[in-house]
Amino acid sequence: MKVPLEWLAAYVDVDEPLEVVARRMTALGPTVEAIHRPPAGVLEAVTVALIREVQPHPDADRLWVCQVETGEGVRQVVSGAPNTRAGTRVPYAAPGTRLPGPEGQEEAFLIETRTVRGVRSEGMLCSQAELGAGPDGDGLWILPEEAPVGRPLAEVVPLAGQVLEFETYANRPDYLSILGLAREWSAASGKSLRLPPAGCPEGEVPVEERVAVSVEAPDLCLRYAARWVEGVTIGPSPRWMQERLLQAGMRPINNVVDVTNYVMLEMGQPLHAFDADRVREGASGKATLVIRRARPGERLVTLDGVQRALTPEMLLIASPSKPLVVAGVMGGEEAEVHAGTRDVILEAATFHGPSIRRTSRQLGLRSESSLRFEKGLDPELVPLALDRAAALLAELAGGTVAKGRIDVYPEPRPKVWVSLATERANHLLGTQLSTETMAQALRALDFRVEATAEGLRALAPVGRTDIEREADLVEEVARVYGYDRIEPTLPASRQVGGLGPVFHARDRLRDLLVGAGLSEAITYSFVDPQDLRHLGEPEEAWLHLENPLSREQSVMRTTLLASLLPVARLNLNRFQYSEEASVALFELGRVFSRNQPEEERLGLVLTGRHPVRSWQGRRDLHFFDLKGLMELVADLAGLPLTLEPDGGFPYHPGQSARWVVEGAAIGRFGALHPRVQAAFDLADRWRRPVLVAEVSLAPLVAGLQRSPHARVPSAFPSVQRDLALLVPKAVPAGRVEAAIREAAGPFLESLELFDRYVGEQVGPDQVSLAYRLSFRAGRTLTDAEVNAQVEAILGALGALGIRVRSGGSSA
Amino acid sequence: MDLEVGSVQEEALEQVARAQSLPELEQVRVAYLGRKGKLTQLLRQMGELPPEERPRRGAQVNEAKRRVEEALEARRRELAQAEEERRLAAERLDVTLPGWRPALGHRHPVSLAMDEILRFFTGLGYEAVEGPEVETDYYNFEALNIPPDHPARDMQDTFYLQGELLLRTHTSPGQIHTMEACRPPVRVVVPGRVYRRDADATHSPMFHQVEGLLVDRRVTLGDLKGTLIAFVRAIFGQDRKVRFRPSYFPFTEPSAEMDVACWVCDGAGCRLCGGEGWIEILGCGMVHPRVLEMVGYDPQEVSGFAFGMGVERVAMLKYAVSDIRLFFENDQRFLASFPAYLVEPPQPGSPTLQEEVGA
Repeated sequence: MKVPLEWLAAYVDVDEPLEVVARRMTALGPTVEAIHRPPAGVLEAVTVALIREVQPHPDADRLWVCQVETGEGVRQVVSGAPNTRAGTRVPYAAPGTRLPGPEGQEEAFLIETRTVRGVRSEGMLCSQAELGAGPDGDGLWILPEEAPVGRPLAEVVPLAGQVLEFETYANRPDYLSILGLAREWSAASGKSLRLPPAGCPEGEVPVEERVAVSVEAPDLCLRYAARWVEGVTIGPSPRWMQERLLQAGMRPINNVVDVTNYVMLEMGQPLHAFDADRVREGASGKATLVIRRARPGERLVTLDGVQRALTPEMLLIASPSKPLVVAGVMGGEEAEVHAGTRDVILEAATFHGPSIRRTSRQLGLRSESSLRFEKGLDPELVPLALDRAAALLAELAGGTVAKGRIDVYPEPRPKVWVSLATERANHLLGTQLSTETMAQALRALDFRVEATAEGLRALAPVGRTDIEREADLVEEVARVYGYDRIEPTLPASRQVGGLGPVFHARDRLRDLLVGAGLSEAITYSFVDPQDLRHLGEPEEAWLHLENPLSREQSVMRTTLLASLLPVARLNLNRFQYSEEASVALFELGRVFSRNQPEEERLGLVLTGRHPVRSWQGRRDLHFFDLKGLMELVADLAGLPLTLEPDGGFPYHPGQSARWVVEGAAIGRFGALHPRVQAAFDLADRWRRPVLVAEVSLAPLVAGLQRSPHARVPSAFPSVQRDLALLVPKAVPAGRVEAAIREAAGPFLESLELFDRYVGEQVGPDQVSLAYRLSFRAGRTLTDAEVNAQVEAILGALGALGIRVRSGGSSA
Repeated sequence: MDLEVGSVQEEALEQVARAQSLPELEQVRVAYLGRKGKLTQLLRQMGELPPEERPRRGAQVNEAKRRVEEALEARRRELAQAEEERRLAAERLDVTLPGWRPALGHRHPVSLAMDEILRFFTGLGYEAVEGPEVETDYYNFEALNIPPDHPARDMQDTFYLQGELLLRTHTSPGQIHTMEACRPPVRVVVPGRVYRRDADATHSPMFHQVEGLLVDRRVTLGDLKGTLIAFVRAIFGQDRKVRFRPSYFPFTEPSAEMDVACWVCDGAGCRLCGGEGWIEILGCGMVHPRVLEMVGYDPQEVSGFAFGMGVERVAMLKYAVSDIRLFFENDQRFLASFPAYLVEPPQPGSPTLQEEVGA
């Protein structure tokens, strides 16, 4: 909401500099989001001049040669403004004055004496826009008739061009009115508020003879009032009104429309003016307005020239035969006031806020009216605004106001006196204010206040609909008293608080993975459905956004891979897919499904170079780098990394696995299927795998909650045995290891694979695996005992077709 | 001295001095002191001398041996030191070459900022809890005193899902879930992802919030101020100026927004703060009595405060990030600006606040 300071000053004095006003208003409540003002020094440098004489330029159609009284003698100035007229007072910039450059340019513009098509021009006559004092650049800025010639503008129009722009609040329609904000400034400054005159002069003819109103939808139209003004002359509104409208950001149209807009900005109550001739139907000469819901299929061409399809949820103002206005949102072309309008019906009404909001959203049409109505207006504003507009019309358009108002207000809203208990209010604020201090604060905001046994009761001023209960009054008291004056305190704690197991687990996992060279990513939870399809995610589980920003963000992810793979692609791209490219990222985030609860997972993606930095040769990331990370994660969580080969699509069938804990798969990891890798544009020239993992967080959290159990190191020596085994290729290493552990008995302390060989020496169908076994007991083991265990192991391995490699050592 | 002994000693000492390496020196030792060495031989030859000459000759040879041994030892030390120096010289590395560093990743700046925020509040006795990201209209709006078609819904542009569900637009539903689950006193922070249909340099369709809620007997607006001032000082430094200004949220009354003085201009107005001198950090207020009533609390008995802050906003200000979109691109070069671990411990309990509080 733009508030010209000059307009604000019409209702309450403003003596303070603009910054002070802005700061104090913001501290009280209405936050100033922008300050507009003429560039420094301009209004001081430019003076008032009187145009004495105007002659057409001898050599140009649209230029005038003016003789101008400047206070320092008469000067000749050439003007191109269409409103250049003798006898008016206008701003004069003498040669040597610096004016602001055209909008958006910092550079100042120096006024000089120059020759315009052969005619000497000493200085310049200016518009508001040229001085940076307002939006009006259509003609010269006409100054008040009493402005003393030769004096700087800063003395004559000190507030000109000073505009405060306020934030709007959903609960404060009164902040969308100059008067509402004047009331706030009155409380902030302690200066008294001057309300515009109430009532209007009326003629003889009773309004009922001219207009009838029928409200058929009282649920959507709480109050409807109308006045009749006849014999108006349509023309431009006066300069002062146009200027205020322009400074507040509205375009002047004609005197009737300008009056409705002016009163809307002034009081916050939207108004509508109908051309009575276009409403009147039949022979009676009487106009009838029907306030009803739209009929199915009904259409209306609104003021912006668009034909609108209406639905029965929408409220209309109609004549008996046709729709005229979408109530509270926008007028129709048909009944608009135009140059030939003679009689005007003025409307002021209170419509149901939520319904206006719905209608305006459905039509995609937000107007100054709907903005106000949707916040829920005070019906008490209706007669005040209607009379104010009628009075201005009579004054400015020369009409006669018919006697009385039509006012359909079937269920008048009762006045709400709200009580406040002084003690409770102080408890809520942490203050020790007296009832009187609180009462003063409320009176400063124009509340009526009465004392009660517990404290006070108060009635909000007209236009405020946000005061419903004690807490609302407490806020009013607090903000007038000053939020900054409330003592900060720290509440005593009766709780321990802290981060629970899930937070703890995330911290440990982050530290582990970051320590292992991966960086943490955070990605959007919504993904491209195409990417989910590439990953083979079943569509029936997808949760679709109904109003996504784009197709690429239109489905909630069912797997973290759909987020992480595009991030991997972006990073490869940043490396220009070079051989040195390296991606190592993880994310902790949720996945979503239509039939499962949200689930948090850990996702990993690795590809390209190993992230270790060394100039001694570098290597690419391998499946076993990923598996090593998974082993670290499993160790951290105290879970066994028991695997079932083949993670299934979208994984590489021969380079992936499922992690199974207590019979349930808690995650998958491995190389991405080459087809998927290609679909995500992640295939590089070196055919390097993209390694990914996705594990549910919950089992890891559970594991991390277990407290560790100490293993006291044995004082007795261990006995080492190395076994070089020839293993048929079909037998996985995991099986070999399991067989060894199973057969070894209780003394096997550790088992480590230290060599693996495939090649000529072992033949095409076998693999050589060399294990180091370490045995230890709570006493010194004898060779014979250990040998017996090794024999048992070899026996078990023999059953799997595994034998000791000749030449390998077993001692 | 016997001429022969003297010349052998001279010869030996000369050769010791000439030896250029430890093996050479060893050869010299063997040649004179070894079993067949010249001085050893001289001792052996003593049996051939008349008995009266033996003691004198013995003393001479032993003296010669002693001198040679001393010279050998001295030379050994010299040579060993030279050897060591040669070896050290040969082993010299260019220590200015880069180290072979273990791979170390980086924490995401939003997660670092989140950590700091949570650590501060858990230090004050708040418990961190989480809620669903997919919410119902009731928890996201209605229970927070935002009925259907209320203009306050425009404050947060919502993403809707099929089946009457939506993506939470704030972490405030966490207030309701918490209060439904437990009786006062309540002291929680609710961190998490939130979603709004908005995208530009300062708005992301997904971002993070931390909601705070404290409900107890006699909780005051002063408590809210004190808590948040302490927070700002812990996160942004002890001298940071803070401003509370009245605002509107449907679920708090009174409501406020908290601004901190802009870094760059300290309140004078600059580009970072859009000329206002202040940067909005969070919204807060006393829990609206209607919200308390809706979860079955008695607003006559208890009161509370709530606040909600944007974590990206905190991270942007703290780490000088100019565009919110950088957080979600996850360019590793951007992520590498941030440390692997939280470097700066939050500083709770500022003496300044204690003075201000007068406690």
